[in-house]
Amino acid sequence: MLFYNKKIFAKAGISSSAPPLATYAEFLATAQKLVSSGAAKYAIFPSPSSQFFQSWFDFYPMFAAESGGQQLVVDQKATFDSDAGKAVAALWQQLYAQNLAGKEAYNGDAFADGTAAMASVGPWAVAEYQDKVDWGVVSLPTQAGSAEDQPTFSDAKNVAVYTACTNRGTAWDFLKFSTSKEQDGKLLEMTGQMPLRQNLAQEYAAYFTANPKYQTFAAKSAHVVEVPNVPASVEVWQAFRDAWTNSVIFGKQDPNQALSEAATKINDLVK
Amino acid sequence: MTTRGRGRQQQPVGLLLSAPYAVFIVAVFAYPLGLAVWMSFHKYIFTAPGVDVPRPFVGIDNYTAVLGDPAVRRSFLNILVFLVINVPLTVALALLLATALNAAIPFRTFLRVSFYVPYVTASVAVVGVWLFLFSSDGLVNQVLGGVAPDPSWLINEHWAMPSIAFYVTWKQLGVFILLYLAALQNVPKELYESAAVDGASRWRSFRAVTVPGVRTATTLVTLLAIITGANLFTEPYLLTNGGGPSGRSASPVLLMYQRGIEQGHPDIAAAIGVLLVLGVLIIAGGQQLLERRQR
Repeated sequence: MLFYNKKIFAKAGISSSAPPLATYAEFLATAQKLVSSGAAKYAIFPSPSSQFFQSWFDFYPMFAAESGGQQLVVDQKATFDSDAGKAVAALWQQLYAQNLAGKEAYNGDAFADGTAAMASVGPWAVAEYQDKVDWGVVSLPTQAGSAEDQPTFSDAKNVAVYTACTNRGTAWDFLKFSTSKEQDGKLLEMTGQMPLRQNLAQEYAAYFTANPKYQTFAAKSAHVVEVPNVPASVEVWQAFRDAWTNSVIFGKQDPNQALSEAATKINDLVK
Repeated sequence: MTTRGRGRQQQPVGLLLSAPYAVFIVAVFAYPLGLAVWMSFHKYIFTAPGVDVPRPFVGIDNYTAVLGDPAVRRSFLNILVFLVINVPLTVALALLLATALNAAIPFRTFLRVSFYVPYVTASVAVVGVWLFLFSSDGLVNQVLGGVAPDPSWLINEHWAMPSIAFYVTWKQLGVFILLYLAALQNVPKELYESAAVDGASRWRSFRAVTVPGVRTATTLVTLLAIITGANLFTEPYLLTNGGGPSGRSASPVLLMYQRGIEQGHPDIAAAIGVLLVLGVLIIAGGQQLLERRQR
């Protein structure tokens, strides 16, 4: 989901109840207005670092929305060298080229500090920004315009039992217990993290009535895409990230060419 | 009298006293180094404890892979750039400042402590200060105005590595100043007096008395600066977002972390590590040779 800082939007003269953020054209125009009005230094500021997992916070959620829920790799083939991938890269390249997104390391949380007016976030953000930012929430933009039920990336944390585990039966019982409805409910109550389970809003209706700010995330959890479960996954993401930072962030290469080269490299890694 | 006879004598108490350190050296340095060399010639993967998997000998395959990887070659070039700037700068500044701090100047203790503070402060905290100074709208660029580099220091492909080299020089200067201060106490005062009697200027006596007087310390400082410099990790990781922009400040150790720990190729990481050790040995050996020729 996309959080935006209502105060900064108001200061820039943009509607803080229904900001124009549905399409890429609207998103870019809003970003330009936020920065040129001096309301915020940057429109959005995901970490520009070359860590392999950083693409999960800028590229991947938008790619999920734009591509209708495609994983990065499907059937041992990279999917992002496509119209959807190129469109996402082109949008971000514009954001960086026009200095609407920060390219440097940042000490702290740019959204909490008001340095950036928007942030792509998960349910953790509700508690994190509670007393810091007066925020509103919308779906991430897509080229044609965002929709309520468009897919997004949830960054799910999954568990597995190794075949080398000596007490597999006990481990299995433990996993069943720790992911039971009751324990999932505790996870939700204690952390605000969405359990991996169908019909969250109905299953834990009392929680979402008491904590309405989490409702958008509960609704979203029915439309999530995860990272592909492939061997060499970290290398795959590093190859993607290197191409992304080199082309989209630092403009050293044409983004389309970088995506195409990264796809070739990744196809090699996962075959 | 020679020391040969004495060395042959058995000293059970001495052996006992030195044993803990010997064990430490073997466990913390020799064994891991040996293992790294072994790993670099085998296909090695991490497994859960107690799991036996084949780790076949692959000859120089890991080295071929490493040397054929442009990112690795770039990182070695980067670290060379770093050393070329960092080591001479460290030696020169540390010696000059130590000489100044050795003289009778006001606030001497305060200044000595000041130079040492960055060294004992956590890297993460000091990096924060440098980001405040060297980011695009940081203090340095505000002072420089129009002549500030664009893109700014830490995201500029030409300035990223030199910026890190300057940062590390500053951060470590304290400990090297301390080494020089200790060495300066051993330079006989009489030499300065006779130089003064001969009418030598301050600069002249610095060059003719101080520099040769602390030569052993210079050897130590150079070696330590080369070794710590070659092991650069924290700074590119934090200051330039993991070796950015586009790998221009990536160091071999950063790549070892990526390849070995993150991507699960400890054999490749070990090969990079062994090459790095060899590189440091060659540079240090060359430096020793130069040093001896000068004597």
